[in-house]
Amino acid sequence: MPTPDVTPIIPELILAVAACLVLVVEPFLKLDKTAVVAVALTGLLAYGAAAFALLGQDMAGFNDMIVINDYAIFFKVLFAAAGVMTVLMSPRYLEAHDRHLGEYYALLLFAILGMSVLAAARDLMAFYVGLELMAVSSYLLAGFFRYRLRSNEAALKYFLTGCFASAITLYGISMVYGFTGATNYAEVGTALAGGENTLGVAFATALVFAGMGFKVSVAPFHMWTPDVYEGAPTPIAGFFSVGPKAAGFAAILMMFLAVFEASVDTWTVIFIAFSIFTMLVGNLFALVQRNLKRMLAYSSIAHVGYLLAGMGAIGQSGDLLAGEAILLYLAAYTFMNLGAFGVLAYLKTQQPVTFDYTLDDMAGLARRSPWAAILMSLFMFSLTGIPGTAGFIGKFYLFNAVVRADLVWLAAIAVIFSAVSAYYYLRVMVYMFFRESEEEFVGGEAISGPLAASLALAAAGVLFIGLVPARLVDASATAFQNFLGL
Amino acid sequence: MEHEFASYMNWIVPLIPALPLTAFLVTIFFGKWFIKEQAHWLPILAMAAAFVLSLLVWWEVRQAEEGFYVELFTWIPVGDLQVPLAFYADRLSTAMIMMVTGVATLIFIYSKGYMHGDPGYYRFFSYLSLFAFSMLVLVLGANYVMLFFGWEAVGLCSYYLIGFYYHKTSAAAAGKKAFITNRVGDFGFSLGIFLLFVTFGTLTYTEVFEAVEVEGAGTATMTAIALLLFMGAMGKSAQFPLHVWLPDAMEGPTPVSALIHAATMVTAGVYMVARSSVIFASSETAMLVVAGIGAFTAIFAASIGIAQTDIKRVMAYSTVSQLGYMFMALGVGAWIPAIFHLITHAFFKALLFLGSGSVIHALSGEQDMRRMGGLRSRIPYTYWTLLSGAIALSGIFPFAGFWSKDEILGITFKDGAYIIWAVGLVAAFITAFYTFRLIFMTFWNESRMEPEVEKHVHESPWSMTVPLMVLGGLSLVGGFLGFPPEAGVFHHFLEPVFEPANEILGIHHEAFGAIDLTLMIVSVAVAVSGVILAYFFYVRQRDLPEKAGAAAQPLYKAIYNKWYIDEIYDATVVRLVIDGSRFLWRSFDAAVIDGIVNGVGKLWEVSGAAVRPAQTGKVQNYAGMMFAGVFVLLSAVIIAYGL
Repeated sequence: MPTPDVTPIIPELILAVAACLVLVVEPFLKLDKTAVVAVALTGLLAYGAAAFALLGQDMAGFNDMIVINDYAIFFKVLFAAAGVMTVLMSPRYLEAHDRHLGEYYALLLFAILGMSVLAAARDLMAFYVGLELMAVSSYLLAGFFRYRLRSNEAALKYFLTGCFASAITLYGISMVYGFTGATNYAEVGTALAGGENTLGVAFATALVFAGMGFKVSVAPFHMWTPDVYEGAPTPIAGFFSVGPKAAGFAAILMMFLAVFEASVDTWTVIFIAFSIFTMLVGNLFALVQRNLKRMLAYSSIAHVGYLLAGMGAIGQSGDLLAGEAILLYLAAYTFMNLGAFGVLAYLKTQQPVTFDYTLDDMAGLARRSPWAAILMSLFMFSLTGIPGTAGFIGKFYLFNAVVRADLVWLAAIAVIFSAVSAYYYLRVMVYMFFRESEEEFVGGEAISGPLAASLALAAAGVLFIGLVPARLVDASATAFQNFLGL
Repeated sequence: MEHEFASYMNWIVPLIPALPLTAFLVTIFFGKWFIKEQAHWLPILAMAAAFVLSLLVWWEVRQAEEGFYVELFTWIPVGDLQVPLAFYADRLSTAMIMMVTGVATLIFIYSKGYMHGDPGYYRFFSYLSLFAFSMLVLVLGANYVMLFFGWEAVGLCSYYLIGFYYHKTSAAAAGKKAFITNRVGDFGFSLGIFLLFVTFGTLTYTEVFEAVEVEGAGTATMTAIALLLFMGAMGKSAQFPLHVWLPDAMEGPTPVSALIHAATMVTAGVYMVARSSVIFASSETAMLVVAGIGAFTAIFAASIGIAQTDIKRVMAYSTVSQLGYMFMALGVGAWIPAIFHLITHAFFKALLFLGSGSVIHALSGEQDMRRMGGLRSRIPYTYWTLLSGAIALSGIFPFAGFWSKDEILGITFKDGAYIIWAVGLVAAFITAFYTFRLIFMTFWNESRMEPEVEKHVHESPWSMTVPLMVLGGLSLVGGFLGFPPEAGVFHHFLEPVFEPANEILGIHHEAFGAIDLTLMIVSVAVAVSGVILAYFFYVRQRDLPEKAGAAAQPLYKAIYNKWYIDEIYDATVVRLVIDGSRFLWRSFDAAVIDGIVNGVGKLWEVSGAAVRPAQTGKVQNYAGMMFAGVFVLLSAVIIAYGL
């Protein structure tokens, strides 16, 4: 038996080694966990750098189960960025909660490993392995503060509903295997396209949609989201809101374009219908939240609704533009949402006891901590989609693609919901700048270096994408076109 | 013949706007805690360096007829619209950047003295740097999108700086007024750019102008594009009827008035029209409108200048009037004289503003000319430099304003536009009158100052007087750039830029002749008589103004009240908007929107009982919801496939 070529999984190997190293180093450390953080960071950077170095490669390995190409690399780099930002905002936050443990970073790296596999999979088995690795690590991370009721509860809910979702996905996958006898995307796609059993295929499509819909929180499979974000450590909530979502969409794009090409008419309708429902639920629930983590959870559901509209546009027109726009949107979203959670993590470390993520806790922030208020405003502007920020570019390209797919009415709905979202995003700024806080706040410690770096990275990403979008637009275009040449 | 530009042009051209941008970033981030009172050094040095680089660019560009184009990267790619971040240094933009960086350097130095001790010292210098960056992008950009970016960015800085003393209500209101008035103009401007793109499929200058020349478009389309673009110019360059914001903008610190509201930003409209000369030349109607609006604004604003008593407001109306001259020139196809006047005006008007600032500084903030007087010997540097600026503005030989203004008048006359020429001539007379009214009221006669103010009169520090002297020198000799008339260094330098437009218009050069000499003598005579009249009114027989005012009571009241334009706006547009919004607020916002918002809230409250169990954490409900979703989804699939 010839030795398999490991080139396609070099970045993943680096990540796996780093995760194991974290576990090996951890027992030798007492209170100071700097070494663990350093290992995790180095691992993530090396992972991202390795992926970057492989840019332009296009090859498959391990019986065509996994590939390395610009599409997979786009996501790997994005995950590396999200991972680095999450790791940087964690140490001080965990210390403030007296729970700075090494396995946190190991779990985070394993979750990213799962995401990375998910985005690179070209086979239903590899897909499922990636999905579960990501999911199991996420359940543990959600309950990382295990002595806290809310965190515990979040983990359990996430785990139980996650199991149902996995079962539904598996059911769909097994039906596909039953019809075609193959697990490789390309083979399955060809077999399904020539097959007769249209209802069965439609059934499988719907089941996989529901399962994946859970992962990216499509309404009505979204109910876990606010509870989990609220209960999980804040950096992890931020990570959940961007990382697994991007990975989920990486997989959804591939699944529905390659595997379920035959049932494109069915899933186009499904995506459009769920897009509207998800935008509605996300935005309306976000309007009435007073807890910022819950607000961001519902707002992330709303953003998923916009992305689903993009999927609908792909199905409708087969236009490349929508796919590129989805990648672009995911990248923009990663920086702005993680940034917003980063500011919350910072505020929590400042006031571990009194700060409870409510709007009232934000009152007078501009006076207490002007930089935090300015950064938060930037992220809120970006989430709203104000020009000059990443969020605007993301929405602009996405809605433009939807319009080009002759779904003007859908784009109009999305724009109206974006306008609604301005209310709950900008309300945060009203509190920060125009309300005085009722209690006296004692100045906390200065911001920690890593956390500051993380926020700076997020802000730089938001502004860079917002002001000079051409680079990223090109990157997502190449990535997506490369993926289509499957 | 393609000229080979030196390779260092590739980086010095982008560096020119990058320098003030760097100064802005460093100052705004580190100013408050680290740089503090030293905040002036970096912006001044950056500006001076940018000036030196501009000279280098000039050295290169003067050897070539076509411009230098450098593309950094694609900025916004959307389908067919590719907007590169690119700079275009041709002879026109080079003339502009030399003026902008030069004048800005002097004003930055002046600000060191003027703003000394202000609590917002670092903030002031960082905004000024941001402004300089924006202005340089505006003139150096290679396409209309970058022009528009710079256009909006200079506007933004201007609103900030007008409202710099934001705790003063009038300053905040003035900032708001500038913003709103400019929105009207920019609305047309952005429509013009859209129409340009729709018509020609590109926004890059060179491509657009080539398309206009070669393919052209219907006269109606060209007229629409030109007029829409001109709407933007009317807002930015304060032309009637969008001029109302500029006098109020004087609420900003004086260096801001000098830099933004006299020398650079307000001339952006003139630059834009000159830049788009090919487009404007393609539409006779548009040219007529530009000339008409310009001429009317020139005389209209000058008339208001007669009756103002605030030293800075006199200058503000004078600026509006002089900008009118420039548009008048553009409208008759006198592109080069318009730009020439733009440059000389930048020198002497910056000087006049800085000089007024020096007077105000000496008088502990007094701005009313009725409470000045007798300052000639008290602040001599300020007096002599200001006098030099005043002579230049009045258009008296051989100062800078004479050459440029006389050229505009001369061309309108030779062009056969006698009405416009006559209007311009009358405006020139009024200009000389109000300018020397200012000089006489401020510096001559006996002192009318408050005793407390008088005790503290002092000449300004060197950082303020040196820029005054440099500008005074430029006001004296700057006009010789355009000597001999219509064939000076300046004209030869700019000629290639406007060749295509002149070809469309069929303009040919005529040699300087007897008619020009006659016109020159006439315009100098007119200016001198304006000065003499002012001398009689404000030095010799000082009861005359009152008598004249009483004799022509309604006229005097009208010009004193700025022809009631603000009142008319208040009574019509503003009233309408306020009433309209109040109506919308009461009927629509309060009833409908609030109804919806409250209704949604109510809805949640009402349905809360049903939703809350699921929300507060029964995991069974979550799973139930999921299965309901799957069930509905699968049922829909089955129904759709007709099982």
